[in-house]
Amino acid sequence: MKRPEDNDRLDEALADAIGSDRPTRDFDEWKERYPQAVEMLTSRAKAASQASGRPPMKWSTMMRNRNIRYSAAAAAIIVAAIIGLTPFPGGSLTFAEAVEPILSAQTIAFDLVLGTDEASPAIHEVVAGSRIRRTISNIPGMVMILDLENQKMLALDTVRKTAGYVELGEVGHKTENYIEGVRRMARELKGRSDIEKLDGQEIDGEKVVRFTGGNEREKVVVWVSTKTRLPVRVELQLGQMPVVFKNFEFDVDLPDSDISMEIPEGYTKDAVQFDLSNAAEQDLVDSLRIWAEIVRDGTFPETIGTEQYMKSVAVLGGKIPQLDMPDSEKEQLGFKFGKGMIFLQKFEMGGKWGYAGKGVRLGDGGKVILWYQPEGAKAYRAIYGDLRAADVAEEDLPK
Amino acid sequence: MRHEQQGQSEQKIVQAAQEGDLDSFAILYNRYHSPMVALGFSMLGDRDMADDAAGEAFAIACRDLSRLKSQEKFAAWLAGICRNVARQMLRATRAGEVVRTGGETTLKQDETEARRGAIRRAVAKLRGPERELIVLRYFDGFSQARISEVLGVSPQAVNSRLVRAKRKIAEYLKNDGFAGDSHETA
Repeated sequence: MKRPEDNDRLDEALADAIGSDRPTRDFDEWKERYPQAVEMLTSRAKAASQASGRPPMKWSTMMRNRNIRYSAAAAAIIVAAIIGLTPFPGGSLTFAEAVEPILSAQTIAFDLVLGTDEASPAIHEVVAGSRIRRTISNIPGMVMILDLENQKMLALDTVRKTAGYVELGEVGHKTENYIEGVRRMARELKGRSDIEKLDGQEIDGEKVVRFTGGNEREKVVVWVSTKTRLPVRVELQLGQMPVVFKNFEFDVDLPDSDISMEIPEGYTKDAVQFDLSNAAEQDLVDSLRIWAEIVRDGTFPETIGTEQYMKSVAVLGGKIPQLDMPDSEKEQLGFKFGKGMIFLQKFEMGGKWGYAGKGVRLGDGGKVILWYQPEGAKAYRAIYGDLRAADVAEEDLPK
Repeated sequence: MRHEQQGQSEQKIVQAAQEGDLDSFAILYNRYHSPMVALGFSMLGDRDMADDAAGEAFAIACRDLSRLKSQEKFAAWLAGICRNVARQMLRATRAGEVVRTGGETTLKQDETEARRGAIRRAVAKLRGPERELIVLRYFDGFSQARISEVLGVSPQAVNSRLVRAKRKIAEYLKNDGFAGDSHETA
């Protein structure tokens, strides 16, 4: 056997080593394996023919008649103008079908807004398994790669070309993967018959069907396009925290480098390391101090929570350079601010807590600004305006 | 001109498939299933997994087809989906190591098997895009025009990249003990 180093022999050798004469699966075999995909495709034709009252036109027939495309287009326009129908009336769409793309997509990209104000900063995420690539609209230049399996985050400053690892601890499982909250609820509700369905809705001019399911504590609302049969918006209520998902893209092409936990070439590793695990009451106290002292004018904010934190983090970022403190302390401020909110998020998503800090000045020891009930405890913990914390009975909490 | 006419014709097929015509989707399936298997094979190194990846890619394409705005880019769009599916499978299994070791697990190798192993090791050393190109070319003898559609690059780029990839393979083979003239043309 000759060596495969010349042109023809290399071609031959490559074909021999790589080539395959094994037949690939034919279309009928594929249809049997993926009946749902076939149903999804053909339902578009059925719905279109139902709208127009005629049997679906096959491509082969269309191509034999050159004028057909003009009359078909005209018919579609007239039908749409008179009746205002979209190609897919929502009638046949079920909740299970509506959430299937969210459950089955191997990668999913979306924007999410924490809270009720859609003008709040948006988080853009691309999720692939236990890896998330995250950017935040009011923190330009920052890219975060989350590895939830190993409870770590890689924070990249794409402007300064620096990178730092952050330990997430239990945060990685409980509070960081928002889309998993949607998936969990979708799986739980899929087979239920009490899902509320509402046709005839519209979002940004697009006809949608709305599905609502859940209970007072946890609720999910899914809006699905009647044209594409894909979700366009999801609202998830987890305890007191609403989360809005929009601008979905399913099975986006995601190179490994986009979710790699390796520091990219050309980046310098930050000397300071951050640890978000084991967030505790003291972190919340530190966060409140930063909020009153640095973000604001010495008073506590009107309200606090993840939504307000998201809006304030950019304000803090703008003020840090002017602060009179060592650089090493400045570097920690953003994370200290965030770690306190991570502690609070546990209660936002399903715990007893309250806030009464509006108008209270930092240092006013006579006023309770925040209280919460630790898990398993009967008493509450109260934090006062001078940031001391103490146990307090429920009857002594602010009304 | 002929290629342009075929492109316009395929746009109509994609459009009909988007409107729910299963026969049109079948045409696209038959046209691109084998290249998708080849693409999957270039990443996974396992024929069965490559078949699964290709099937899955078409199922996803079926679901998302209505969102494809540039109908003339169907092949490249489908290839992107297939790559994604293959990556997910690779992350889940690590079966790709089969092609990376190039058959070294075989205990008794005659000269033919040794050559095949060397070729596969050399191909596995290529960068992802070059490996895709080589596998697409030699898996089922796809033409440069067809490869150009699937990869979304011009036929001229396919030709020049193929030359470079084969030159690298020849060099890897030389380093692996298959000495000889390493000058290559497509």
